[in-house]
This record gives sequence, structure tokens and C-alpha cells, in this order.
Amino acid sequence: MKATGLALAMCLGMSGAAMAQQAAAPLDGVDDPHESFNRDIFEFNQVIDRNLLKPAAKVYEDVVPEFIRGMVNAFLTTLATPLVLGNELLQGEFDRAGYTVSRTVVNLVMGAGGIIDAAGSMGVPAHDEDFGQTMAVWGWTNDNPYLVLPLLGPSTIRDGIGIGVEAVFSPLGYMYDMSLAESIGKQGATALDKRSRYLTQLEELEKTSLDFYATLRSLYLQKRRDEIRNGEGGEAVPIPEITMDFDGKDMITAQTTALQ
Amino acid sequence: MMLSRRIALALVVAMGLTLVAPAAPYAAPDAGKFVSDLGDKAIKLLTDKDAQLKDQELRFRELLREGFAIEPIAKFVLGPHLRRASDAEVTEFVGLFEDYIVSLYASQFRNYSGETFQVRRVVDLETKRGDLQVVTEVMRGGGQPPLRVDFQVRPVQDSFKILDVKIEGVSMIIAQRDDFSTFITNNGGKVQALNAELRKKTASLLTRASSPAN
Repeated sequence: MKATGLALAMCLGMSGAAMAQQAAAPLDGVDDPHESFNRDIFEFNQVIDRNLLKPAAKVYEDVVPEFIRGMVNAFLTTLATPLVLGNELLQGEFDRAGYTVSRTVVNLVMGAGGIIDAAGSMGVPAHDEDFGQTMAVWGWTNDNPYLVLPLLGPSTIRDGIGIGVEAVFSPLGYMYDMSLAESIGKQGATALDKRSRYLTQLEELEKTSLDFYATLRSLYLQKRRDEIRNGEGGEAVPIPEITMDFDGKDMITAQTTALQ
Repeated sequence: MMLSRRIALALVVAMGLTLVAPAAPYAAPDAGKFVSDLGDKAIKLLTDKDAQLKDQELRFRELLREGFAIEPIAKFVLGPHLRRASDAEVTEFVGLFEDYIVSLYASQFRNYSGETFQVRRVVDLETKRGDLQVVTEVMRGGGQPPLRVDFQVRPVQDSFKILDVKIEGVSMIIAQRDDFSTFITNNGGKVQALNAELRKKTASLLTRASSPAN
């Protein structure tokens, strides 16, 4: 399946071989060559978030009942289907693409035109795919450099380009001529929907981190890699030998032996 | 002091051995059962209506020590700064790290709303120390899909110790390490700075845990 995808990529003129030479940044040492610039943008985003997005999301949550918010979420997911489908096909993931098609048909038919996530409630949740992930599958596995985009938040050059490509080549845009107002409206609704879902978690994270920026960066990069792998595999954390020793302090203390 | 303790331990072990029925068949310890038992104990602690916060914190700390390899985890979290820190600083950090984790969870105890989890399978991670991945799903209410939570465990003597928890593929100790070691780097490379900050953070989290409204 993947081989077909790669062949497709080469036909489209992307130099897959050249990109494959770039190794993924190790999970150790986080590379953030533009850290001070990123932190400035991060601060800017936090201000917008605190003063605009978070209050809006809180109002959204307080005023709009959960079942309507659920419908908005389901509808936006349905709108995003052509993009998810397109990316799955580009990655050569034909089984996953089939799943996405079936799921969407179920929602269109049983979900009143896609405003109810009937498939999701049957245990068939939506996939999350975007062009950044597709490029990673094609070989652009380098996460460097980490970038914080104004308003959009954490990203990498690869993923930033992915967002740009999608904005220009959105399959939905081809199928249905969206006016600028409509597409901004859609972006705004998506942002609000996402933000309200993560309100408490992000607040928690900020309260418990010593360096919120660093924590968010770590979560973002790890989550991206997980998304690209579609949740499979993953590395074991390299903790060296632990031995059990009898010690004066405690009956049993775990101690590390020589470091790697 | 240490010597008499060792003798006492030897006596206890000897007595224990004579009480155990001989020739019991050896059953390899089950990583999945280890995680699920630990989880059950945690849930019991969280749903104990009569427990005081202080009591819950104590019991939680015991569970933490029982299930997790705290010292190796703490040392991992220091990242590249471990090598440059003095033994005293590291020992202090390990203690503060444990306090921090307890306070982190203590401030969340009241938010527990009945979630349960199921062990799905155990995967051999094929590392040279026999690490295993216990894959579980946390069931949440409100029609939300289950959360994928993986435990990396290592066989230790007759049991296991948890080395890492990954939520939806995101490793908690890697996130912790990125947070803490970035902090140290931006504070002159001093672990003391981290220790001081950890004390403050832990205190504020504990205050939040015991305050009437969250």
C-alpha cells in the first residue's frame, strides 16, 4: 500500500529520495533554533487567546448547549472529509481511505446530512489527516525547525507548508466555490470548536508546567509523530538499568547503575 | 543500624520461606494484571468518600512508590543536566520530584468522575532489559471516544515498575523532561534553580488542592 503511495509521490515530481535523507530529530535534545522568536509569537498568541479566543470559547460553552456544539463539531468533521480522504489517498493508505468514505456515507445518510456523528457513536471515529502528515509519510520526517505560527500556534516548516498547500488546494474549495467570508467563517468555527474542547486541559497544563512554552512544544512534536504513525508503534523510553538495593533509608530503594 | 536491619530482614525472609507451601509452580508475573491491579487501587482511593485529602495524598504517594521507578524517572527527567549536577542536588531533586507529582494529582482528585480503564494487550518492546508496553483504554463518559493510555513497564524481581505513561502516544516523562531541562537551561544550567521552582510550584498546587473551589 505504502509503495503505491510513494510511486504516486514520485510521479507528482516530489523528490522523495532527497527528502528521505533527512533523519527525524531525536526525541532527546529538542531542537528549537528559533526559540526566542518562537517564544515571542507564543506570547502574542497567548494574549490573543486570553483576551479573545478563551472568553469566546467560554461563552460558546456556557451559552450553546452540548448537543448543538456536538452538531457543529460533526458538521465541521464532515466538511473536513475531502481533505482527510485526499491525504489518505496520497499516503497510499487505501484501507484507511475506505474507512473514511464509509464513515462519511453513514453520517450523511444516518446523521441528517452530516450534522450528527452517527458513525462516531457506533465506535467509528473520524481520522485526522493533513498535508503535513502526508509529506512526512513521503519522507519529510524532519521536525526542524519548530515554529510557532501567529494565531495558528505550534508547527514546523513542513507542517506550515502543509497548511499553505491545503489553503490553496482544498478539495472542498474545488467542489464547492466558497467565498472568502465563508471560508473565514469555517476557520473561525473550527478554531472555536477546538478551543472549547481543550479549555480545561490547556489551563491545567499552564498551571502545572514550569515552562508552559517548552511543555506545549514537547506535546505538539510528540503528538505530530503519533499522528503521522497513525497511533502505531512508538519508541520505548531509554531508561538505563534499575536495580533493587537494600538501603539504610528505605527498606527497598530503586537505584540506577552506571549511566549509558 | 543497617546491620541489625539486615538481620531482621533475613529473619523475616527465612520465616516467610518456611511458611510458604513448597513446590508451587512458577507463574511468570503478568504485566497486564500488575497495571490493572494498580489502577484498581487508585480508583478505590479516588472513590473513597470518607477519606481526607491528607490521607488520600499519603495513600497516593504509597501507590506511586509501589508502582513507579521514581528515582530512575527523576534522573531521566533531568536530561543532560544530570551529569553536571552534584549528588546532593540530585537527591534533593528526586524527593522534590516525588512531592511535585503527588501534588499534581492531588489537585485533580476531586475532578475524578468515575472513569475506568481496561487493559487491552501487552506488547514486548524488544529492548535489552525486557521492557513491555501495557496498552489500555480509558473509558470516558459523554460519548467521547476512549483515551489510549500505554504503560511502559520493566520486570523487576517478582514484579514490575512503571517507567513511563503515554497518553494518546505522548510520553509524559519526555514532556516532563522537556519542560524541566529547558527550565534549567534558561536558568543558568543550575539544578538548584529547578529545585527552588519545584518547591514553589508544589506548594501552590497543594494549596489549590485543599481550597474549597477549584
